[in-house]
Amino acid sequence: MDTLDPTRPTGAAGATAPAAPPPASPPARERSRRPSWRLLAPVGGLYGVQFVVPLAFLVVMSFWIPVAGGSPEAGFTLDNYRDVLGDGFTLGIFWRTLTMGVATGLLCLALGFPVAYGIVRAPRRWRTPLLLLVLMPFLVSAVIRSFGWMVLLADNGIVTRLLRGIGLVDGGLMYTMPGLIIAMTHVFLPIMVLVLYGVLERIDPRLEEAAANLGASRPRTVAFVVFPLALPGVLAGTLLVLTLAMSSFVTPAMIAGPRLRVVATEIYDQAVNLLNWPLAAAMAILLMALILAVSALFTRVLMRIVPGGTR
Amino acid sequence: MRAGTLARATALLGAACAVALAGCGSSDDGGSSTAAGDGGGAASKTRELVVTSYGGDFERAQKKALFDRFEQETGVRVKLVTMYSADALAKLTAARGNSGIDVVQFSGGQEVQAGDDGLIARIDPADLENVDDVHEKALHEGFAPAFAFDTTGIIYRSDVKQPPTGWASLSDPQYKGRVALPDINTTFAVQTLLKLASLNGGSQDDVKPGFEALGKVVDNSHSVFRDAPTMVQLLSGDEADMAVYDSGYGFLMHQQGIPVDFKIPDEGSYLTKLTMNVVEGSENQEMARKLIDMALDADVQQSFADDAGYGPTNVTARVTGPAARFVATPEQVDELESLDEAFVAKNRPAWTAEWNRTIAK
Repeated sequence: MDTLDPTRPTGAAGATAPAAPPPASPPARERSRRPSWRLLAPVGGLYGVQFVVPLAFLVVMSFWIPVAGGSPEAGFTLDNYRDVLGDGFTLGIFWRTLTMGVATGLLCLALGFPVAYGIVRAPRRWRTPLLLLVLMPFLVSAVIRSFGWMVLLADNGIVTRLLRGIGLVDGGLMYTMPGLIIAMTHVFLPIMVLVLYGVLERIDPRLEEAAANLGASRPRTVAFVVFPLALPGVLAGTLLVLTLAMSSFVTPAMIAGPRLRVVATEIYDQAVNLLNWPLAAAMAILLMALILAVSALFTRVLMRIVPGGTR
Repeated sequence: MRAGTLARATALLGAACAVALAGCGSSDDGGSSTAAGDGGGAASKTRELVVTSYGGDFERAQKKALFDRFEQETGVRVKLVTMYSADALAKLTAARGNSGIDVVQFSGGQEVQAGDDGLIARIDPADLENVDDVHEKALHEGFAPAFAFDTTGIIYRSDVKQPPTGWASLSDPQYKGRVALPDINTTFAVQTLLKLASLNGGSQDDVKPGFEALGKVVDNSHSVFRDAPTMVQLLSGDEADMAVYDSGYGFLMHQQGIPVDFKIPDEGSYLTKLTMNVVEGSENQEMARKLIDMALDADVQQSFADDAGYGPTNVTARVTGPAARFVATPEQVDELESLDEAFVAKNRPAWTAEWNRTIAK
């Protein structure tokens, strides 16, 4: 067994004295630190088949040669990437997707944090009903929710008339960026609240009491005690919403329409309507790279600017 | 402990992902996914035929006119899987003979490319009893003829002051901000583009004048819509006066009580074929042919036209009900043009790129 253990620092001792039982504690501790492969195997295997293999296909496909009006040819070309990166119009679509994702993530955070905090500090018997209320929109598919927004955001829709009444917008909201972000925020807000709730719930209220005892005002306590402690949730929630928003298809397709394109709808059109799978694959890879880059950058920035964030 | 924070964040991310997927997953199965995969049904005892369908009222009318009768006469169950034409072509291309689909329906000329790519099976006209009654414009050499005609035109609100006359109305200032245009993913948009090109001194080989004219139409428009439900909402909500679409949807909206009429443009327009095709590699080819043959029957087409508003291709069929106002007359069918589908398929990528740039805000 010792020979199978690659993490054992000095194999010499074990090898020279095979008869002597090894000291009990270090191997046991080391074993417990290694990931339990047997527990990971089922889902890991599924993941391999359903995600890693297709992803590898996608990468390969992105170098194939598209044929107008036919199936793509196997081969190697960088043209698909060149077509995306060398074209201002397509880059504009990526930029729009990025700003939409970031705006949705931050807006969800701004709106979701007070809600989650409010639920955590609400009387115990209210928490479950409140959480259920937050979860409710999940019971309705994104298509239906988006369709609802189409009615609300229409030129004579109630939201548009309301915002026009107070002078916030002048035209309609359908097929506009603000309209899209409003609908996206609604679709993804429950996720943000759920993630934040999980983290905020575990923060000891006595820490806030201590802060208050030391003379900190309520806003100051939230900003300098609660928020930094909730940072993992803030990070996870925002990244999750950002990622889902940047890759979402249904809501942008319905609310933004063909004149305001995002990457997901563009990929769909290339893949399904034009059968240009190589270009669609290249766009998918680039979208993934963009999401990863934004996530890394966002994590860094947040860790730096929040007090206590770099602990 | 930065690593610890991150690990916890990641764990949460994963947990939330599960929740999110459970919530969002339902959004994806509205259209194209799943059903076909388990539809192979080779092992099942009751014989069944897997047929793609467009859902909604179209499906209801087709079921009433055709599928129910077919099930009764043959004892074969028709299993419908919802899939639009473009999705179906993409699926057949990807699955290469393993799609589990027996009969595929197309409404945007996809049968030409599917035929060229060997995705649909060839049919000998001698195997179809009703083929002699079919209008010659419905024929697709070597493959199944169309079972219905669809006319492209302008659906407009009946309460508009001045009804539109044709393509010129789209850029007419009196309708400023009240015109809705389909996106290039529909065949109607391709037809609009080519018609605008030919009316402005171009042709399908020279579409530049078409894009110039399209720019003017877009400036005059309310919006460009991606799908039919959006178009229905625009017209029923009185946000737009008119939309380029087809006679079938015009009739459908009329039946739903939305005050609309349909205009075949004075400058001429296009005919689109609705086809059913036997999928190459299907194990039920004979049954599939039987279904297609039945779809060419005059009674079946009459019933379908009365309920769905799509014109019969069987020249002996007569449409007499309220749909007659929307369905093209045999004389109109003679005059309407058809797209050169093979040419369109080749040029679609370039046209799409140019179209997207032209309509972008």
